Amino acid sequence: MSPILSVRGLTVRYPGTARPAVEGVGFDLEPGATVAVVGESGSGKSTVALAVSRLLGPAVAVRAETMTFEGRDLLGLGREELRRLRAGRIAMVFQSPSGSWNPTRTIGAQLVDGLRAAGRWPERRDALVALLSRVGIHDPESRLNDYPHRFSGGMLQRAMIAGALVTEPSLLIADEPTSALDTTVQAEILEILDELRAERDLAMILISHDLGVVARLARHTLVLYGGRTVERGPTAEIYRHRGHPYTQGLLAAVPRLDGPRKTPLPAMAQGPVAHSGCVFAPRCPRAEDRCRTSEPALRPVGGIEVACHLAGEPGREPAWRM
Amino acid sequence: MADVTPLLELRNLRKTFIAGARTVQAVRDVSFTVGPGEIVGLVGESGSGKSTVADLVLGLERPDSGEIFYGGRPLPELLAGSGRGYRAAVQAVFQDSVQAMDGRKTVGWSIAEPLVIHKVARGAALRARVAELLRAVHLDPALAGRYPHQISGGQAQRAGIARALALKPALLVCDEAVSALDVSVQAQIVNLFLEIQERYGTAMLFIGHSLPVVRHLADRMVVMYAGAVAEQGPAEQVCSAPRHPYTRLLIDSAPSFEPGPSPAGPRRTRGEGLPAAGCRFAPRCPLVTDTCRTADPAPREVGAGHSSACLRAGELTVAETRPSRFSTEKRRPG
Ligand SMILES: Nc1ncnc2c1ncn2[C@@H]1O[C@H](COP(=O)(O)OP(=O)(O)O)[C@@H](O)[C@H]1O
Ligand SMILES: Nc1ncnc2c1ncn2[C@@H]1O[C@H](COP(=O)(O)OP(=O)(O)O)[C@@H](O)[C@H]1O
Ligand SMILES: [Mg+2]
Ligand SMILES: [Mg+2]
Repeated sequence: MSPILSVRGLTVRYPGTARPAVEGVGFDLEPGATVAVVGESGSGKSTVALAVSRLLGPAVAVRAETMTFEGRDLLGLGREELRRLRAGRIAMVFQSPSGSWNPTRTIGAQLVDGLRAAGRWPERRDALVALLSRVGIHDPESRLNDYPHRFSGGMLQRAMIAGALVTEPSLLIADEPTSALDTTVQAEILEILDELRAERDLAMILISHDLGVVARLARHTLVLYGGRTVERGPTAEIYRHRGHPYTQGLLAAVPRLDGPRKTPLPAMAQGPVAHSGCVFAPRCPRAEDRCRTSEPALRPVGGIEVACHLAGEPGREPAWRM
Repeated sequence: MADVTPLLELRNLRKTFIAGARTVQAVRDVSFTVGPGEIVGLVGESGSGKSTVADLVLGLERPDSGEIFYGGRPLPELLAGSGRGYRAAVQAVFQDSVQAMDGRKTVGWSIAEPLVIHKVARGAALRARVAELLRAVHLDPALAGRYPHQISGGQAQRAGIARALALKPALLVCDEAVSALDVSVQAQIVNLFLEIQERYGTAMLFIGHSLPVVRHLADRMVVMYAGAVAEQGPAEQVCSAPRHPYTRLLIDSAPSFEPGPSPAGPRRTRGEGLPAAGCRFAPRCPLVTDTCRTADPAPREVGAGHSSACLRAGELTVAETRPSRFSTEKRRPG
């Protein structure tokens, strides 16, 4: 199958900053597939999302060897083509439920705006109501007249998902869609998203700071640190191998319900992103001289790709294995 | 902790807020204890009343009815006059320590403030104590001269803990103290709380919405739903053999690496409001019966120090509570 989205060597630099926020990131996404982008705050996840959806302003330098969506070069699109694309084929859901809604207008009015912009109003009216009910909003016809403050955070996210999917996009970019929500609501919303993906052959970029949250849904995962891809591959393989010390650290730091209690958690040290050599070296418990001088390239190691000089060398146990 | 006088005892606490035309029963008949040096975890979804319980314990809100005892003495008595003894012994750590500190004052000033107010130290002794507190939370004493916006989120959280420790409290009330942090920083702060418990014997009421994090720290756990205690008991028992369907839902919703759909499954049975009568969890409960919709279940003993407010708690055996994660039909991840 040919990918719906193909990204190679994506590099983004914000104005007035010394270094790119994202450098050399690449991945392919097939129709109906999900890729997870994970990493701590500041690792560049949102920047990747905004670059792919072309939501970064003209002052931001976005470069890529390849960035094609449905066969078209995303970086070469004109303003009108871009507008149509964003109103229809590519949809986004952001983290902040309240920040994404205008408090002075009803939920319904804002959803209708979205459809109008996509040129799909009133054609998709019934589909909108059906979707709202599908994502878990009871009695949607009457809830459409409510203002955002009458909705809980979870309800706002559900409405946002319905609004994003009603134009029948082929790609959904969800940037921490459930990070601000309770775990029970988070589990439910992710499950609904995954059902809709499977039914509609929707491709999804699912962003999260917690690998455990997205592991269920994404067959492939990209781990970012300091704007670089440090590990990439099938999610199950990444979980099994934990090729990069950063991934090992991320996974080991989170307590598990079936893990030990009341023992110190293996917590990664904090530290700056390195400007030369490996970005992670200042925080890495295994860093050697070569890690501080030469930057490791992403290379295949046992079913995944890892950007670490030490990955795959015999006799080296992951530093943080619990 | 049965034969020791509890450090803190909450007895049948109730608190109702009136917001416009609505009344919210934020806390309904909440009872539990915290023993000396014990960490009690308080979990539940947002709006379940956790912060209101914290505010009641800190004396920031007064209960409509019910009582709080600290060291066997009722709270109104302890807060009479200046209330300084109690306010020194019970300290708070919040989610956002940057916001909790005065932005125009240095970090050192914020940590020193309680020592100055309570006239514990001044001059060189004060500076030495601030440095000692910073070291206790593994911060460089040089950070005392910085301003809150000049330090990282993790450093701010440590500074907030240093301030809370300044008066050598017997109880820390931690409201979502690790919830907003990156996982590696969260792990460091969790470790710091464990170290504080071990080193100083400080008891904690630790509020969080992540069940795995709270389980890791807590000796005992209290699960709240819609203002009431759904279940409480030893932390390990509550998580491995839950006796309330809401606790089971929390467990099934926790992030996991099992491929395929979440065992929690999509639950769209939830109506918007809470029922006015009967068990508040009934509309979401997979085990609901007709009785559940009329009778408000009171907590019942289901094991040693373990209670559940579910009419069907007796039927929730270990075998029945943990199979879902392993038996759901699996859809391949996309
Ligand atoms: N508008 C901006 N101007 C300058 N720097 C920015 C801007 N947005 C993000 N950054 C920087 O880019 C890096 C990546 O940020 P972001 O993509 O938001 O990370 P994440 O979503 O993983 O938290 C960070 O160092 C951040 O400070
Ligand atoms: N000062 C207040 N005025 C009105 N309602 C309040 C107030 N404080 C809390 N509530 C309400 O009480 C309920 C419990 O809130 P809270 O204790 O903050 O829950 P949690 O900390 O578990 O999220 C919520 O419905 C909330 O809206
Ligand atoms: Mg982000
Ligand atoms: Mg709260």
